Amino acid sequence: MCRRVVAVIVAVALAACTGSSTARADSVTILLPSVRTTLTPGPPLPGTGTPAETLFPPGMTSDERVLVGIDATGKPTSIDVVQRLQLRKLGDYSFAIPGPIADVEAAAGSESEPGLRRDAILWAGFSSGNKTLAARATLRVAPASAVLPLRLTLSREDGALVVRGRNTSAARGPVLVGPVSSREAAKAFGDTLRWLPLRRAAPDLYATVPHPPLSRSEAIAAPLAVHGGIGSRHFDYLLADGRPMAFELRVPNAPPRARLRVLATPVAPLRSLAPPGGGTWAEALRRGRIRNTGLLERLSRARLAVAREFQYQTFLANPNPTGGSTAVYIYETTVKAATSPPSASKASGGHAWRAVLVAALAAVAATGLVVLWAYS
Amino acid sequence: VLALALALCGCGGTKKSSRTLVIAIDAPFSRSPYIGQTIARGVELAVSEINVAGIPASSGTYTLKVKRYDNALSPRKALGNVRRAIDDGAIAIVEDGTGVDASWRIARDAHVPICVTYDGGSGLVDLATRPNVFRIAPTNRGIAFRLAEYTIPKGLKLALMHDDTTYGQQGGDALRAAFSRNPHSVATTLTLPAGDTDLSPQVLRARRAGATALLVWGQAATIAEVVIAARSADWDVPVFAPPSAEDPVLRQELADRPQWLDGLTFATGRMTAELGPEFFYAFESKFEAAYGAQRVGVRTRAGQEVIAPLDFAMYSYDFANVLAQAIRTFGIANLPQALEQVTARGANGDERGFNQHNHDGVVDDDVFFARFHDMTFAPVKDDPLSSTLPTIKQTK
Repeated sequence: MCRRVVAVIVAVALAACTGSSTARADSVTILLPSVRTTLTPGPPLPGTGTPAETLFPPGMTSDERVLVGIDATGKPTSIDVVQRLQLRKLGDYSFAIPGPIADVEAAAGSESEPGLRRDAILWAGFSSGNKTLAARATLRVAPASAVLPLRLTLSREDGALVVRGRNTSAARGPVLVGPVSSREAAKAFGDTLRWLPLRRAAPDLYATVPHPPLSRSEAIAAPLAVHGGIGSRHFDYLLADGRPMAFELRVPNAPPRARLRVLATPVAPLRSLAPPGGGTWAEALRRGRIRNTGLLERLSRARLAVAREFQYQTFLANPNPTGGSTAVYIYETTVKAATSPPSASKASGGHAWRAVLVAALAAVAATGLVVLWAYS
Repeated sequence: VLALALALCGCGGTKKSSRTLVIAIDAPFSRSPYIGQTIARGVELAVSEINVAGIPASSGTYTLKVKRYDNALSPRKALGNVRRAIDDGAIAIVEDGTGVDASWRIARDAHVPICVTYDGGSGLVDLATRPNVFRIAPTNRGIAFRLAEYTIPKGLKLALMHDDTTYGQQGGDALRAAFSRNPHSVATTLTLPAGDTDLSPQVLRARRAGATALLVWGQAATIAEVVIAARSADWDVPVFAPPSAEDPVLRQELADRPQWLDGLTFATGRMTAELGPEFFYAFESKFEAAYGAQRVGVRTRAGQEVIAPLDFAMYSYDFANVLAQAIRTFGIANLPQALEQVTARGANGDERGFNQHNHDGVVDDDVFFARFHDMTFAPVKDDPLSSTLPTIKQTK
């Protein structure tokens, strides 16, 4: 009896081992790149201050306007951030927002005053169910400009103002390389799109693949929707997400002191996430429109681009890692749009000659008057 | 031989040594012993804990020592005390607020921070003009605005009453500012003579002005006299008060008619963190083990002895810990600046500290309302913050 029981147990164990090894040989479940992946370098900005307590009611959201003052060549000369934190639940809050903070003051609509420590904005108090904490922080330009998502350069060429913009949000991230079935990929793509509104609170996704994929380091950028204006001329570009990373715009006859204003908004990589032929991924799968090559790479790249977009939605950190965060980067010329064109120099040269002539005539007139006085 | 001995003495130069730093307490020990003892004992308790390991420094270890100076509620005496404390080598001064106006300059010139742990007067702490003055205590501004926020929506017509002490006058100023946007909520404003044992005329004037509630900012004895005057005239008017209502004197003066105190509502700094009351109770246990319970001197109807929560002792205890953290992190070279950069875990579990824009360690949001019943008080339920707070045990 006892021998029979042992035999049965051994048989069951062997069967289980065989079964599992077969399953392992057939497929493996992998974790797809998380939309909460933080690539470096990139925001949120770090600080060097001493760490502080972090406490807040659930659901705190952040909205930021990053105000970048640029000079005549497009180089950042000042960076201010207006951050609005919205607390919609009852409870205590006490936290620090790190960053290269030079100074901070309450922004319009704030229901509390921000504190300042070395490289940190401090908030502490109580939310009775709805509270706005708004701060305008002045950042040190050198460390903050290093992680701006857009670099602008301005120049004058042949009488035209030339505005060049480049998406500088790229950082290297681990892209998965290997086979995946169309069904698995379509499901993951569809789920990624479906969970986009949850932002960083979106659940992690898994996929079953025939064998463990490899990892390849690639540059991942946050897509930027760029909208700008100079005088009456307006322009729009999408940088990254299958589009060029840079733009160049020539504005003929732009006045020398024309003000340039450019809004750069990180946006989801919707082109990379879109199914072939439009519609839904389920439809694309049903109609056989999905080509089974490089699907896992494309999926990884898209999910990392989503993560990178989320990263740029918090130039200054939101202490609530899964809370909604939005940011817009506003570049504005602070002095004049570009260096004076050659024709303008000629004009100013003319002014100089006129000034010399007036001075010479004044000197002659003065001498004449002295002579007249001497003989009178 | 002498040269050899001297040379050998010189060889010990690299050895790390211990140094004692003095914290001065300038408080009204003779004139208001409750306030003086509370402040001093809070600091002394913290120092006794800090000295167990000392404060590590590059040159050795610092230990702290507390020296008491009695200001007898006199700014002139407080000024002399601060001079003596600096001569005695004090690295920081903790005080009730009596002498700050007179002494902050001397302390500033000596790079010595002053921390106020009782008085909430708005002029005492000024970041721009008094960079060495700090405070861990509810501010008058915060108390007054919270009182306005709490009473105005109730549709009450308030008689704003303050006594003629410095505390009362500063409170009167804070109330004026807080109610300036809602003048229709104010029936009248009255100044009360502190120390007067019959305030019936003033209370009658408030009643005739159409007041439906009294807000009394003054010393505990003044609040008690207002309550006595109103209740003796059978006027069951709601009475509101600032943190001085916590002072045992109020309850002692109403001990014969405890029902008159029932319903009196006052605003004060919260004692417990969101984490719960455990931290505060742990602090109370340590304090009681060292100094015994703070007896109010009255009993409940059931005969239980009433004890006072140690909120003001907590403030001075917290300052000593923030100071120790500043020394630990930045040394003693410039303590006013170092204090702006650090925090320490407070007695109630909250992080306590200051910053470059704010030298007040109790934020205005952290003011709650408590109502007396049977000689003890409990947080009210009709205020969002207060309704979240537990009732601190106040009987033995």
